[in-house]
Amino acid sequence: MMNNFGVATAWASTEIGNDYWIAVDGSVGEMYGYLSDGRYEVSDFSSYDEVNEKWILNEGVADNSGVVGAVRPGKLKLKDITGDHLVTVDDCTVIGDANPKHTGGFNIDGPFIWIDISAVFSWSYGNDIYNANKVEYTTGRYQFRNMIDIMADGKRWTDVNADGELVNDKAALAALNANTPCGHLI
Amino acid sequence: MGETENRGIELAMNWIALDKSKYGLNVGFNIGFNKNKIKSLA
Repeated sequence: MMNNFGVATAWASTEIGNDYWIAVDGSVGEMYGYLSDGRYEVSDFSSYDEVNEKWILNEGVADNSGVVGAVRPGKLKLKDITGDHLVTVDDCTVIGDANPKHTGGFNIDGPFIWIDISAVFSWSYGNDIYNANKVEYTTGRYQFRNMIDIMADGKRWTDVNADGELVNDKAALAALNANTPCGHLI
Repeated sequence: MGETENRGIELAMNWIALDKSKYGLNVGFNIGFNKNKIKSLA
C-alpha cells in the first residue's frame, strides 16, 4: 500500500514544497500547505534580546522560525494546528479544492437566412483558485521586485525608520507600523 | 498506482423557440454536478 503523498507543482522552482495533496477518500486537486494566521504583532513578543539579536516570543505564541526563518514583528504567521507551539511541516493541511460544486451554462442562438448569431455563457461554482500571482507578488524573496498594490510602501510592514535604521524597540516599531494592514516582505 | 472514481449527474435542455424558414431561435441550458474521488493508492 502506498501512503497519501504531497505533490510539488514547482511553479516557483524549489521555493515552495508540496502544494497539492493526494489522499485516499480525497479528490485530485486538493491544495496543500500552511494556513495563514496573519502576521506577528509587536504584542506577540515579550522583548528583544540585544545580546543575541533575537526577538523573544510570548509563551503560547507559535514559533514559525523553522519555516519562515527568524521571527520578528511583521513576519508572516502560520497556524499551529498540532498545538505544540511550533510550526513545522506537520502543520500543513488541505487548504483548498480545485473541484467545483457544479458547472453549467446556457446559450442562445438565432439563425437568420445565412447568418447565425449565438451567445454562450458558462460557469464553474464552488472551486478554489490557487492564486500563484498573489503569492509571487506579495512576497519579497528578491529585493526590488515589483509588488501588487496591497504591498505598497506605507501599507506593508517596515522594520526601518525614516533614517534608514533597523528598529528593535517595541513601542517605536508598533508606532512605525500603526497603519500597515499588510505583513512583512519575507 | 491507484484507483480514482468520477461520478456525477449532468442535465441538458434545448428549446427550439422559433423555427421558421428564414429565421429561428434556440435556447439551451446545461448543468453538471461531478465528484472526483481517490479510491485507493496501490
